[in-house]
Amino acid sequence: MSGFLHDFSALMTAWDINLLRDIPILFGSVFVLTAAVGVLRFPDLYTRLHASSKLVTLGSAGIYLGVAADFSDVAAFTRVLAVLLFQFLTTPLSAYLIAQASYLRGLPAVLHTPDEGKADAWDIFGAAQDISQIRRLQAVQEEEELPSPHSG
Amino acid sequence: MIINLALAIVSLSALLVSLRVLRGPSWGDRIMAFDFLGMNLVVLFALLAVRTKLMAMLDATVLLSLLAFLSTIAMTRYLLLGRVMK
Repeated sequence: MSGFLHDFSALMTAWDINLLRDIPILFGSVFVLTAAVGVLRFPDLYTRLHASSKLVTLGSAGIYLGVAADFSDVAAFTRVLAVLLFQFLTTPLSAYLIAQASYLRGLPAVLHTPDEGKADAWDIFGAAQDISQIRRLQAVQEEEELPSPHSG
Repeated sequence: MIINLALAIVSLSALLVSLRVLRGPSWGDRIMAFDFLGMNLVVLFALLAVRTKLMAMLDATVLLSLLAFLSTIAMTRYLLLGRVMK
């Protein structure tokens, strides 16, 4: 048993493994990668903002905690804590401002009306839908609904 | 060393988000993706601080997070109002 522990500690020093540093850093980097996949694959700006703001906040918090555990110094810890608090304050604010600007500029959400059997037709959970295509379809529909100025 | 693996993962996420910058159908998508890239850069500098054992990199993370937030605010104001300041 003590031989196994000795081998394990030798392996940890050989590969430079510090569990207090490495577990939060791996956790955080996996969450950042998940946020990137969500930003790439969600169908809508608002859902992409959800992925970007929440998951990046969690992942970067994990990475900063790992960095602070690696330095184990008061000066480094205060800097990392400053960055962490600043990002916790500003990430929701910037996501809110982007959503507000896009909404007031008239960007439609994919799911802005209740689902009337359109979720299967749009293939929301299968492939990302291009918003510009939806807007083009809506413009064509509005042109068809409006009476032509030369008809009457 | 785990730091190299974490650097590779964060760089891969930056590449994926830069695809969204190129593709993004609306301006809001591009602004959001640039915001994501800014936060990604802050995380990369923190990981590089661990790898190079330099504490000046942590000062750089403070400044980079400030710059990312201010540039996002400026771009959203330009998107909404057509101007940044009065």
